[in-house]
Amino acid sequence: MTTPVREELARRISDALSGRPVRWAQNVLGDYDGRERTLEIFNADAAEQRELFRSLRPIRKEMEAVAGGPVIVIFHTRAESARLYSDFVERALLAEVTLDVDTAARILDVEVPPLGTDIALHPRSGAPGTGSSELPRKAA
Amino acid sequence: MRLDEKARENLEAAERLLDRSDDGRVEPLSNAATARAYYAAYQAVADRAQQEGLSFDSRGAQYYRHDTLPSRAQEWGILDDDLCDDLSRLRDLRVKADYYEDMIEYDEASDAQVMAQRLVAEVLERKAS
Repeated sequence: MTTPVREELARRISDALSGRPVRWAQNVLGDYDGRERTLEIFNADAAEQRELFRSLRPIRKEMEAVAGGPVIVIFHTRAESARLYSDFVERALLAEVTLDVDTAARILDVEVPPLGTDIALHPRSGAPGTGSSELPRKAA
Repeated sequence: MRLDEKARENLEAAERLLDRSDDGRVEPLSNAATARAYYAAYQAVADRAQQEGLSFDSRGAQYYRHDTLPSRAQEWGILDDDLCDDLSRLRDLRVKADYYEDMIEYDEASDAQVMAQRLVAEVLERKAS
């Protein structure tokens, strides 16, 4: 089942995992407990998986609530992501870049304050200067 | 054969399946090793749950559901936060090993074996003490 809430959660999980492509698994072969609640995370090598899994702790309850039970998390290594899932991974990374560019464009759209600022001139108060512009100035 | 004995046997199986020789004649069987590592951990936790009279939660066959066992075992006080994470990761690696086209890499299987070893030791030793 794909719902906007699940998709939004997948996007947030991707953000929490340094932008790694993430999706809810669909049409997985075989049967196992939690099959309908399987999340795939791409570009995650063996040495990274423990920390990535741990970093999901703060949102695990929310994941369970949205998915309807404990979420099965499948990490695909970089090699297997490229070998087996390159279409999805490329699309996801491209969408991420497009989103970044779009966001940057929107930020630049905002009225930017002028780089130069007009400074009002006022008559000098106090003792006049020597008029010298030499450096370094030495004390008299 | 008791569940705790099966847990130890599966743990040893995982170790043997990761064997490899320098001449390349013996290669590790990473997918199988990962599945055995998970079942070693599952059986150790199930053994403790049985010893403490904790009920199954499956509707059909009588067993502890794989998806809910890590969090239930944490609620029961059998696993702490880290071991709960480990059992969850072992479960998920086993799903990948058995149902996905991905090859489990040696490092993933080796991690699985280490996690299972630690979990089985902690759960079964605590039972013994």
